[in-house]
Amino acid sequence: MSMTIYLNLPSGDILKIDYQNQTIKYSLNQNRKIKLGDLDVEIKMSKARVSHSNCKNQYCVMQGWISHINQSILCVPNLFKMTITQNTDEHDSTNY
Amino acid sequence: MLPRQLFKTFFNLLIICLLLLNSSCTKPNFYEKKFLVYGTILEFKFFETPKNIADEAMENIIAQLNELNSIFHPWQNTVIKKFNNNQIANICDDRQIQIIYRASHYEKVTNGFFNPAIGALIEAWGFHTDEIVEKTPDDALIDKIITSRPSLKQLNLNKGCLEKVNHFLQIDLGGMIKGYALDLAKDEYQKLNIKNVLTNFGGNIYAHGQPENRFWEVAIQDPYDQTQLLAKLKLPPGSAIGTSGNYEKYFMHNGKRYSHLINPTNGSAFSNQSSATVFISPQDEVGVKSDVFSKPFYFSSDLKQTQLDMNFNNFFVTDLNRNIYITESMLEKIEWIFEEGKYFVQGI
Repeated sequence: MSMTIYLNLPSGDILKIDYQNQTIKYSLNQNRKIKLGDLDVEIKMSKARVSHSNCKNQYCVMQGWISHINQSILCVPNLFKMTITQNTDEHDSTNY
Repeated sequence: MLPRQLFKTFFNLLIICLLLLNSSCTKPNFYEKKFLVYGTILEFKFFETPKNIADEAMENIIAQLNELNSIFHPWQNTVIKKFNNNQIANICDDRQIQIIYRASHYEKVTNGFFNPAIGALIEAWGFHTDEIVEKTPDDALIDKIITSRPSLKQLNLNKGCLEKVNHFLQIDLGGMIKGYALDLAKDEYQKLNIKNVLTNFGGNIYAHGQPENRFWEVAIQDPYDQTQLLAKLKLPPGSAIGTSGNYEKYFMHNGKRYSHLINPTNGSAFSNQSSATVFISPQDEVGVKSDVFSKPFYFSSDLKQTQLDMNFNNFFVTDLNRNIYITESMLEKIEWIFEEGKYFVQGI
């Protein structure tokens, strides 16, 4: 049920990362690998995931890709959270 | 029907409605899809188009893009790569020749600022790869390439085949292929009688038709911060928009940003401009124009002169010091949405 609701949400265009008391935003319109300490984040085809982490349980890695608004991945040992959001302004598409 | 049955039916309907409550439900007439084609994001937003026809159009467009890439991709094992590396001596396929001739036409129109013959320069700067690494090129090699003045004019047609005159000539259509793809999409929509769809290929956008009672509306990304927006613009039916920016493919070296947009006149990957955006009113080859027309303004050191040379007015440029230079006609069309004070806007 919760899965269905997530998949039906519109996809986002921003990845917001909270990492060790800092907030960083990335566009999802790019292919990119981001290294944050012992954690690797990957952005590909408007999706994002934690591709590597040094933490014990690997929950964050096992979450796989996220792309829909308000979906998020946590890694508590690394004080890490990432969330998909959207540019609040209404428009049909983005030129870049 | 018994009241109890009625209640049950109503309850079931309510459940179904809740399950269907999704983006396509709140915007019932739109159908959106995204694809990745050779590392570039392709987005469609159809309005009031039967799903099966929209699917057919997307499938046909993607098939054509894959075919184009399989011929023209500059660093995969393609005909063009072999021709560039002098492994094959000529290009004889009519369609390939026709596309190269279109590129040659736009090289002329842009006074060589869009130069599809400088593949060797792009390679020397290390941008012919999927993952960009910091690489400062061999100055002697850059000099040699620039001195040979690569241009598609250095291709001769001999017995129906194109041959190189300049050994350093390497074809790279990266500066027009996204726009060319938009024109292919436009043909496909006309063929299938599709009236209203917005197509975004790697940032270049073509507006086919319009949604009910309004124009398609697009936002332009802030060149300094990809998570922010700079401006908004309404696209009348048949128009297109394109931006060349230093923020897409680049590397940093000694605090300077080197981008995959190489200046054909001096071989440099550095520019004082950070982006150039053009709006193309409805006309033939609107897609290709949205791609190639931004190049002269991105490289220009005298915007007024380039505007006169190109006889083209709908553009604006951002520079490395947060200045925006904009023409009167472009200013009429756009609405700034950047944070107050972030940019200094001036006329050209």
